[in-house]
Amino acid sequence: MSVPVLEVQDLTVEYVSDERAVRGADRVSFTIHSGEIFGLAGESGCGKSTIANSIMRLLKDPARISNGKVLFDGTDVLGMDEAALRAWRWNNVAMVFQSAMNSLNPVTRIGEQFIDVIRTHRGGTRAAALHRAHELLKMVRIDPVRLRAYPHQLSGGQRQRIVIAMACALNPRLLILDEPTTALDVVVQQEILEQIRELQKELGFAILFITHDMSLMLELSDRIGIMYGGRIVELAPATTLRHGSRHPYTQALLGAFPPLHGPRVKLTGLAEGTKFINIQDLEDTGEGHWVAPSDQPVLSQGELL
Amino acid sequence: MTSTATRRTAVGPAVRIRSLSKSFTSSALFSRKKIPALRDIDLEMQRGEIVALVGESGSGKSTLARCLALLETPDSGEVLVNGKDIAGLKGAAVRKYRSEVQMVFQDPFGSLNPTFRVEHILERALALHQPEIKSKRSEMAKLVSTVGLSPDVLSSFPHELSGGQRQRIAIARVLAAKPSIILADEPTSMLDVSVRIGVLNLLHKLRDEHGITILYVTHDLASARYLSDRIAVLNEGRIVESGESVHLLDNPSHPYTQLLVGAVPDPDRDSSLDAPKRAALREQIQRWSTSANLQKHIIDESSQHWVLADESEMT
Repeated sequence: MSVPVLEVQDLTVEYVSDERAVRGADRVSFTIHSGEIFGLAGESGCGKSTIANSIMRLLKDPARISNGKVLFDGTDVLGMDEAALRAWRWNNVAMVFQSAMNSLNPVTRIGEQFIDVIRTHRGGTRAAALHRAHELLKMVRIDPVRLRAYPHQLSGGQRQRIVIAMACALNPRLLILDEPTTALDVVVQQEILEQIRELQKELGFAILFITHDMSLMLELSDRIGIMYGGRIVELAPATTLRHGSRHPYTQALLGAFPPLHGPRVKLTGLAEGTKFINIQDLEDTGEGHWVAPSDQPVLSQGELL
Repeated sequence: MTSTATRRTAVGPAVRIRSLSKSFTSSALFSRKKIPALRDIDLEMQRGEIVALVGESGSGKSTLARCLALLETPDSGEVLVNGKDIAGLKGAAVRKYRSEVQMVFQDPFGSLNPTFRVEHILERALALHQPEIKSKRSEMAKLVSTVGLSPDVLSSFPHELSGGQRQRIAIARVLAAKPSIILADEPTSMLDVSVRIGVLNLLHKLRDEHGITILYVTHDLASARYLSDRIAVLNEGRIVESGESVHLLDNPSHPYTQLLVGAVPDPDRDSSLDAPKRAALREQIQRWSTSANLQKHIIDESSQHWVLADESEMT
């Protein structure tokens, strides 16, 4: 098999304070292949954003990567110096943050911000950068005239599309999307996701997709890792996970989203105060389905409402 | 619960809203514009019924709930709650109304005072709304157990609790007022996904066991279908479609409802709405919303399903 775009091995991140250290991510391993959409799902505090930030080397004190490796195309990311990082970021891997639509500079025109990004990371003339910005805006179906607009003149959905277009500006091989649609209405969310799929088809990048919304995750991703308390508890292709999840936490997450069709069945979600501790390493159960063994009972789906 | 029995003897629906309108004034530097937030709303809620208001942000769903909570004053129209007109309530009548109709807010982090313990928060609600209760301690223990928590939480501060636990405390405080109607404005959207369903189940239980009427405001169609008996879809301040939840979502008839239903991520669906279909729906929504010829059309009598449609486009 070819070298994966991204390989995360045994990554452990600790948030260190005077009294204690909290593990934000605990021996996390996964790989993303070229052109693949890999999803990380879990609730707030499970460590999914910590993983994204460690891949980008954006962690700040008190966070510390205490163990593990991040390989991008076989190159060690954790060993890069500042200059190498600057050259690598955005050219090879770009990230769209949670509520990224608010990350545009409010006092600068959109076009100027595109030019900044392109020239900082790749150089070239203003005209060439502007030309690229035109192309990108067309790709996300926004009239290039809007390059003259300020961020507040655009809707939330448009701004989000612009941020995504900006992330794609330099044809990265990997795009990290951290909750890219959380603050948006459903119809806008659908449009953004469509846009992401189209861009991916055109530009062929791989995606690390992070969200807590399981129905969204199942619809978009090829493979999914479920995180809990800093660990991955289950890792499987999306179709396998949908019908054959094994870990009780995965089942609780899946059970937290009522369906839009079929009979109304009473769901249980996760009972208040349920905790999983001492999560074991993943075990291979075949066909790319990895599960952490758990002695907690498997949830049963209940009676009709 | 004895008081619910006496309430049940009152006649008529719990809430009856007739041609309610509300607009806000937006003042830019040199212009003042009236922006309609609610237009000619008619809505009835039977006792013990759960009605969901769904729509996108800006559709007016929160404004409607806030009008019912006396947090906004409507421009025109009539709101009867338990048979009484709520316009012009004053003094003691307002306080009585506020015990009767309670609100659960979106943000359980902002709605509980961080400097007090849970017991203080609940005690104040009890002292205000049920001053006749002598043994506050046991009543508080009862309240927290109703919302599925152990009495230990009484001595905790809000910051020591998880989001789900905090929202349950907010609901316990609401119950301390013995309301007959609860207005729940996006009560789960800020909670962790795995505990959301628990809070919805709790609301369902309150209806089943205490007969409380619930107005559930949400943008999440799937949860509206899960919890509510009936759904009302709001678009640009109008109720454009309404009916029994399952029937409505299985047969969405207004283009706006179709757009919303088509946008819900659903891995089991073969094909989602593509861009041209969405554009066509948008155009139809636009046409209908500016039409002078809007009429309620009954889709299905038995499930009270109707749609506000343009006369010429319904056959």
